[in-house]
Amino acid sequence: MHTIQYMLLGCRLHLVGQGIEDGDNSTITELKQFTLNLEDHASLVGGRLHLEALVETLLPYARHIVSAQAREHKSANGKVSITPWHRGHRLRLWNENGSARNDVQLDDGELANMVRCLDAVIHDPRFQLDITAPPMEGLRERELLNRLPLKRRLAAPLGGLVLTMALVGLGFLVPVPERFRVTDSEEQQEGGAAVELTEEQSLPIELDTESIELNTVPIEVDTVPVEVVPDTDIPDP
Amino acid sequence: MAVLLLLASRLKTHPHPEPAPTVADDIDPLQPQQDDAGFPDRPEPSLIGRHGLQQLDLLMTTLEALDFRCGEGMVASLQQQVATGAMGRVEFWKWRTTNPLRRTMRRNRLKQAQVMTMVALVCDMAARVYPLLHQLVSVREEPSVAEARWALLTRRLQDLIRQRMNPKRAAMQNFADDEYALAMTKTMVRTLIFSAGPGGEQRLLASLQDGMRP
Repeated sequence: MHTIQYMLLGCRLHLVGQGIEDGDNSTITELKQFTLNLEDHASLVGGRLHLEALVETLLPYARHIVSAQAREHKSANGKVSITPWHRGHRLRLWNENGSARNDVQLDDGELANMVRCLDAVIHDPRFQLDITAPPMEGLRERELLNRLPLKRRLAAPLGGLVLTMALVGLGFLVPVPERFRVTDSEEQQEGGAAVELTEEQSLPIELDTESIELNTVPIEVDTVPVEVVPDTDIPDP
Repeated sequence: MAVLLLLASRLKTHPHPEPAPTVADDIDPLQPQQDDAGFPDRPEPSLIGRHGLQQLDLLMTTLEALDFRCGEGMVASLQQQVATGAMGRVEFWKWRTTNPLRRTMRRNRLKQAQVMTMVALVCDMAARVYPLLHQLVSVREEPSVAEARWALLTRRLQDLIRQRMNPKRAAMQNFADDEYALAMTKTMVRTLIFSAGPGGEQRLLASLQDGMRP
């Protein structure tokens, strides 16, 4: 059995496994157990799967803290989860049956120690297991929502809404245009090229026939006898 | 006469003797190149955006507020990294003045290698002052002592920002407010502690690229 130990300000990570013996440069090719002691107030023990899950969970979690976007992270195999907790962090290791194996509350300093120890493990040439840090990329704009204050985030949509309502209100103030029609005869005259619009009377005119009858006065026409003059030659002047 | 003959024979063998090698002969991406001021044919895509440049310079300023020797340490570390040794504090200052919030700013873009070097510098210096950072963020410290430390660091950072940054910028005007300055100092220290060491470079670079992904 070979051991490799990493220490950083009260955090001690102890790896035990099989490998190649070469004095101080002993390598570990098969991990049996790791023990992580945190300033004597917590101790985490596990195997390779737990160490893999710790690397898979804690390093992306720390990356999100750097962007001030801390959020819960859980390993794919479900063995480790970490979440922001009050002013610190809550790290839980789970058993195969789903029961909590360890439940530890950490402050930023302890978490940073653990992250640096894990960094040291995966960058150590003596540790020859295929455990690597997950790739890290910049967050998308929509993932950075809480970087902007609420007032600034709401300003654009609220401004757009108010402007739309104002335009709609102004639209009601404008009088509705009267309907127009195109007469068939005019359309034929113009050959369809130029169309003259005539105003349509919207209401039919009802004639008051009685009043017309009452008011009508018979017109007497004086007939004058027309004298018929025979055709005569008109002398030239 | 003999001297003249000797000179003539030397000229025949080396009609155009090679000039002595200079610093500028070795093309090093970290060195200032002639095409920096011009318009390159194929511009290199920028590795970090405006927010990243601001953040990087603010992190360096926070490191200087933590320890005044950090500024010198960064220059010394940079001179060690660049083999040619022509990298001085002036060139380093030019890199840092790409921060748009600076009182004196330059509009040229940093090359990818330059950004990577600055990120590595920040992570290296954060690892050096790691015990200080740890003291600040640890909740096991005495609250009154911790408060005094935070107040001192915030005041130093405010002084440095007042000296170097453009006071007309709204982001810098906010630093005059003690509460805002304290919150920003805490954010910077948190960023530094989780960026310390060789593994921190990936994390810091990724955070500097926030908002650049479609």
